[in-house]
Amino acid sequence: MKQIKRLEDALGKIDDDLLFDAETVRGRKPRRHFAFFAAAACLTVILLAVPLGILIANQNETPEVPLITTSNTVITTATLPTTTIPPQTTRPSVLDIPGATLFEENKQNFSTHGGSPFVGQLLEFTQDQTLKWAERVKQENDVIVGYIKDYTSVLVPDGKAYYRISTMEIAVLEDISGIESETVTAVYANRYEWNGSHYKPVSKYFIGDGIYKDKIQENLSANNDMFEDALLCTEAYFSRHDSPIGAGLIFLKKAEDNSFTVGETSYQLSHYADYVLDACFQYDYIYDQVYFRSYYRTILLRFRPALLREVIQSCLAVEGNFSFASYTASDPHVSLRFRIYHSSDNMFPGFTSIFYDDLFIKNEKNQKAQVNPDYKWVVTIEGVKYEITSFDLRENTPSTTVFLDLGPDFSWSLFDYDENNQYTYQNVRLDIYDSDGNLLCYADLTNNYRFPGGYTHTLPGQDQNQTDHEKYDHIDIINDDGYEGLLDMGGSYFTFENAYAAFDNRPALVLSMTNSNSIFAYLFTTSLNPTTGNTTHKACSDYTWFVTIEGKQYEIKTILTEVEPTSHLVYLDLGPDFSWDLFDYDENGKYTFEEVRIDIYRYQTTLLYFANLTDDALYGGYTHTKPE
Amino acid sequence: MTDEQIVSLYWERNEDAIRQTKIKYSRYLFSVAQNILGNNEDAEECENSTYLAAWNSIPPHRPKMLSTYLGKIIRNLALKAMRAQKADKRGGGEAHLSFDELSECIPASFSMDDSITDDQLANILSAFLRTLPDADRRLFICRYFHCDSIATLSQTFGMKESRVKMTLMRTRQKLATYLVEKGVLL
Repeated sequence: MKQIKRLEDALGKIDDDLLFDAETVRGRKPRRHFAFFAAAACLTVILLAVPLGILIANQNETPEVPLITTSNTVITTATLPTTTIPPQTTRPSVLDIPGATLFEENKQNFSTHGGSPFVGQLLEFTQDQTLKWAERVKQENDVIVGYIKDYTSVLVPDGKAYYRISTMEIAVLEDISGIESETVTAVYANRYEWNGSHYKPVSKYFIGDGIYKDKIQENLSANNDMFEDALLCTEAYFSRHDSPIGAGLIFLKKAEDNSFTVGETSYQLSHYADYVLDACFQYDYIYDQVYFRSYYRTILLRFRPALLREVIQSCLAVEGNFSFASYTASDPHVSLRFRIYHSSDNMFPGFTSIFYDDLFIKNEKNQKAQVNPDYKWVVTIEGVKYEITSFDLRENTPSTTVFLDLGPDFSWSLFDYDENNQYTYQNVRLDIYDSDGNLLCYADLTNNYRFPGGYTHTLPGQDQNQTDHEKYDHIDIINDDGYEGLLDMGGSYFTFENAYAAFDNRPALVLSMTNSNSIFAYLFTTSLNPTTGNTTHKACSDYTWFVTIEGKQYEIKTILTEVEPTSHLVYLDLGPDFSWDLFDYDENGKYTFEEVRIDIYRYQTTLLYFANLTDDALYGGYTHTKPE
Repeated sequence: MTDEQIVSLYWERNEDAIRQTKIKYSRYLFSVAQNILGNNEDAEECENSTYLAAWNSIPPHRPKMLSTYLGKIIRNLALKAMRAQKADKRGGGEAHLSFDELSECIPASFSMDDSITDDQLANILSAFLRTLPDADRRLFICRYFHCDSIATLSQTFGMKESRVKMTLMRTRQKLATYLVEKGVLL
């Protein structure tokens, strides 16, 4: 994979003349298949056209004519005399700036968040709870809460530098219930200067009026003229976009000297209120044009009380997906499984959720998350309610996978699965009540973006008669896209190999993956040698594998595969730090591993897949006999 | 407007540069990104990013051939986007196919010499391309730089699709041999 990538990248750097030569061919109209005649005709036309072009070009403003010689390498461009174009004496109007240049920073920020269309609609908190939450944020952070009525920005060139002029109309809320005390217009400018390699922001100025007008005015530099000019530009820009852009949350942080700091755009708000970030990664608009995404990023921060609920939807659970899982830690009942995002430094910087801390609390002894016993969880499936009394949590970063044990009363056999073993659930709902019995939040799981026509479930395996062993004989893998899959272990869960020759006789962790498994295709690149017909698989270099065994993590440096008729054996080199002597084998030479886990990261930053190999209650860990 | 004039606009920090670039090269740039990504919206995003990259990089650069300069930028951006998509298991255009073919240039029993830098590799590729007949070279670049489809190449070059495929396969084999000869593949 890495080698092919290098080849692809190197092709992107081939000599310009070669590329230009090919471009001229691409630019031609398609040839016909009776090529000789056509080619001859084309050549004739080209030969005639070039001098003709020169003649024409001498009389108008089409000055550049590519000349292609018959040599392989000599490509020249003839620049022909042109009529003189008077230099532009006035700066171009911002009205002419293509949209693509308007939102540079937001675009860059957007890209750092990846491209997955996350939709956060798992837990929708009630209005009362939301207001309570917002009040708490306000108090804990000592902020004034407002919302952005309008926001836009334009680039204004200034020689080799430029200013980004941003305007926000902010409604300051008297209290969290939504009474507006005053509207502030904050116009601020960031100056960017060329530092030899890229533009760097060098300063920021505020302009504005309203209750903070005086303070803002103090921030004005001597460049008043420029700002007035910029303001005119900004107003002109507004005039082109007369439709309401939307509203955004803003926390105005008040300092001791009564000055204030404004979170200027969505992502920067994180510096002032972590809680706000929750809304930033709701990518409903992923397929829209790029410069509109930035707008939506701002819109996504809408936070005026009337709209609070929309934000809070994504506060706790941005993973709109859920699924049925065929086991829980306590009993092999069917579970409803979903993921809740609670924190991540990689994917969503600064993201925290106080709701997570409300619904889940840490066990004081082992610091593992558990469900807050004050709350009651009820799942409704096709009209039948199941009160959840047994939970299984797998806490990771950035998310926790939650298993809700549906108990002995639930069975897939209650539903009319069709001949393809499929059934579409139309009503799966989760309600969480507080200790007073008030509805705290809810999620309509089958009526959302992810499952527009309901949730279609396929029975695992052929039917319910399969043995438990067959049913659970897999590694459960979930990636950060919410994509779930199984690495079929083909009857042999996983094994340790004592001394794998290819790893200098070091121990190896051996996985068996079916070769039809789609995940395999993402983890390994397959090459077919056309000469020999041999197929080889190499671990994709974009991914970094870690194995954790009883709390100790091993980075896997070498991965080898062996092809079997229906599966691949994947050998993970545990490296020199791993030794059987690290474990207390009993007198019979047996030891039960309670934690064997695989984590696969993309570019060493984003957890892409994980597999907890030993937490399946049916197995109760992995009992291994110490090799001779 | 000539490339030189457009580049001058960039140097003057005149934003008309972007508009003129778009007028002249939008179709070309979009086609490259579209070929790679197979998705109009993503291709449009790449195109816009290319304008931005040009705005940010000219000055200090003063490209003599603006088309190739922009072409390289957008190909690079589109490849990055494609790889991100691939990791996210989404989308993908003609590039997936063309790059699959390209993988044949690295036989399974060989691996690339890591000591060779990307720039050196690019020079070796350029030298290899200069050894090819014109048509074969253009075909190769159109397929693996611009990621044009076989059908498009068939039309552009007035060849039957089977001949396009055959020519490309032979060129790939030649490249594999060349890379071994030059010590790129060990």
